Amino acid sequence: MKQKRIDRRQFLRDMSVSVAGAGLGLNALDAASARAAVPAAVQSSSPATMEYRDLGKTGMKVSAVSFGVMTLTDPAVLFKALDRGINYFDTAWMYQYGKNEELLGKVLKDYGRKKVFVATKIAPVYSFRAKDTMPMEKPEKMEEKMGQSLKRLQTDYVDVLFLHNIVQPEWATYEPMLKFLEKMKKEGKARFVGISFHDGKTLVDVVDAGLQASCYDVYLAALNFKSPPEHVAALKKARQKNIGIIAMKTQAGGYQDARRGSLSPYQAALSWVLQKDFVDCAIPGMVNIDQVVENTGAVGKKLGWSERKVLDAYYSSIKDRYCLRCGECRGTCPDETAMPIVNRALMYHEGYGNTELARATYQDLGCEENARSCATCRDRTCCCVNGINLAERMRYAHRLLA
Amino acid sequence: MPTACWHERRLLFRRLPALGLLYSLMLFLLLQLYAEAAGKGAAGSPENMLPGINEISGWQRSGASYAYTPEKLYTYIDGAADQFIAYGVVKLHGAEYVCAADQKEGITVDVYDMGSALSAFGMFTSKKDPASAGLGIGADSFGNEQFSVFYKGRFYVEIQARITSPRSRSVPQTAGRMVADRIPGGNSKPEILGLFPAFGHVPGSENYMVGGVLGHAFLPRGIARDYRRNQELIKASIVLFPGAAQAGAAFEEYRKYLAGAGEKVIPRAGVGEKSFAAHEQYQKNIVAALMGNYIVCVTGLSNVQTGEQLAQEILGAIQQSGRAQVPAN
Repeated sequence: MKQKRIDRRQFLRDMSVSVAGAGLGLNALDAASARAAVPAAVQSSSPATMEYRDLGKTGMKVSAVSFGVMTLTDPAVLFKALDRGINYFDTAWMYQYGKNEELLGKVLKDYGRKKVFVATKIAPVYSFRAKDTMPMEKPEKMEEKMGQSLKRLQTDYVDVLFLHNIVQPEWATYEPMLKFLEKMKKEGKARFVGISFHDGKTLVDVVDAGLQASCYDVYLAALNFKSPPEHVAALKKARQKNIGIIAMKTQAGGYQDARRGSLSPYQAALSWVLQKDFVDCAIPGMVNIDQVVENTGAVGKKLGWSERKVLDAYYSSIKDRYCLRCGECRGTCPDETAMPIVNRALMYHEGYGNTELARATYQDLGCEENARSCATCRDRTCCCVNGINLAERMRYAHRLLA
Repeated sequence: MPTACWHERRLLFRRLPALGLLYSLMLFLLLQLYAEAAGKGAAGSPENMLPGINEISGWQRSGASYAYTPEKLYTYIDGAADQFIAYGVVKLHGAEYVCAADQKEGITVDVYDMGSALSAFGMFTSKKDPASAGLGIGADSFGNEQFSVFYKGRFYVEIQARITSPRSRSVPQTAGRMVADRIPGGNSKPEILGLFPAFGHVPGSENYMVGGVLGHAFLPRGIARDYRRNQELIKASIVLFPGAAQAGAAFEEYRKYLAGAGEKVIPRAGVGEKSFAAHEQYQKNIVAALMGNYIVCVTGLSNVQTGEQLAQEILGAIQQSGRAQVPAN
């Protein structure tokens, strides 16, 4: 019998709403009125209630749900975010060859630059490939890029300047880069500085290296409900040392078609992150108004007992198929089926609803690597340390995507 | 019986050369077919589009070529990977090249297989500044002496350079042309762009968006172009759907969204199968019209008539092209 689906907004309305006392306030910003020729009267939904938190020792009070601008193309989404109380926007020098910064700059010029916080990121290495050998970028080149960023953003300063994608711990302590950051602060081009990182293998070491450098104000790190405890502990430690913690990649490829329960996976994932007391804000990437409404709708909600049960059910419903891409399964299949890639193809289908991409990914594998041989395999030596029933999943993938 | 057997064997032996010839011919044909198929595969593989080890004069490939699937693309380009994934990247193949005379000079050639021509176009336009000049590579391109970017067919190509000497300035573009020459097919832009009228368009403003046209999830993907008409800057969007039923449902959702926001949605006659005009927060006045698998929206309007006129022109082009019922891809 088909289980009755509960509307997720209904669910959230029903959820016990826990209002975090300090830092909570009604959003008083009205983006629509900031846009010329746009009457402010029309509000498609009730005014948002946003929670604002201290970003480490910076003194900045940032919206708990903030905005990863990265892939955005329509400014309307930014205006909606402003109306929903989002006040921290994250972009990068490299996103869309600068068009991303330009888009943000135009909107903030209309809205009022000083009403919000802007962060951008510049990579300290020339290229991210061959990370062990890549030459570090020269400080003068970094300064040139910083100038370009400020010009595109139509501002004299950014609130946070990050060294982008720190993969090697030594990048975080590279002296010329530290001097560059210091100079940017001194010249007033960056109020605060930080590092961004998400590589699971080096995350803990990068956190420590950053603490050693003792010049960073903010960390922007990958954090989601699938993050290992050591990542959580490392970031917590950093927050205890007054480093502001901003979480990215919070959705962990959230599955839109959770089989059980009606909690939006995006909201669930976001709530999980926001409830960590060491997290100051999260910057989910958003490309449409629905996502802004959905994500900001998660603010101020606490997961009570019954909601946790639903969340557990959600975890259970995905844990047999959510691949952590640890690669441990490699070598457990005598036929050398590329199981992580097959699992990824399944994720595109199940998680993102993109069957086209799933098929393309699967079909990109040759006969040697795809799951053809799994259909008749009786050995079942394949093994996932996280409990995915690989044999079943491989067969399913081949039936679905071959 | 023994006589018959002997006779059959004798016949078989007599036919052997003929059978052998037949089998050889079949084998030859099969091999030919295989070679042709392999050749085609090689031509369409991004790996084979990369310049050879010593092909760029005075330069050489440094190390082996590399490949990244969407899953691992983060390890290469961090957050920028999201954009590629959103546009449906299938695989990246790339290689590094260094100057033989000065190893400090180098270029990185990255060839992204985007899965479709529209996706490659979308990726390209998401990065191109409309005002930047083309380099004459592929279907469209931009760049300078430090980088070249172009797309052709379903491939999107980025060439990053660290060039310090004047003699090497042309290398990124030379490498770009080498890659472009190896990508099969012509330099045409996606056909669907032909649905936009030329009059009043803002050059270089075309864009293919995924995730939410005009910021709406129910308008999942589409192409847009800016126009200057009647002294105002407006935007025309063609939203693409796999079928008329989905387009119809999205059109209705759009109408309900606006009505739910307290807007007056005014049905208009004679524009597409159905159409309406309304005001939309953040988009000024809009006109939306449905035709087959498409929704056409004109936004940023002060005057609804201007939008209706432009929508009519686009709808006419859709009808003329016979694409109205063809799944958009």
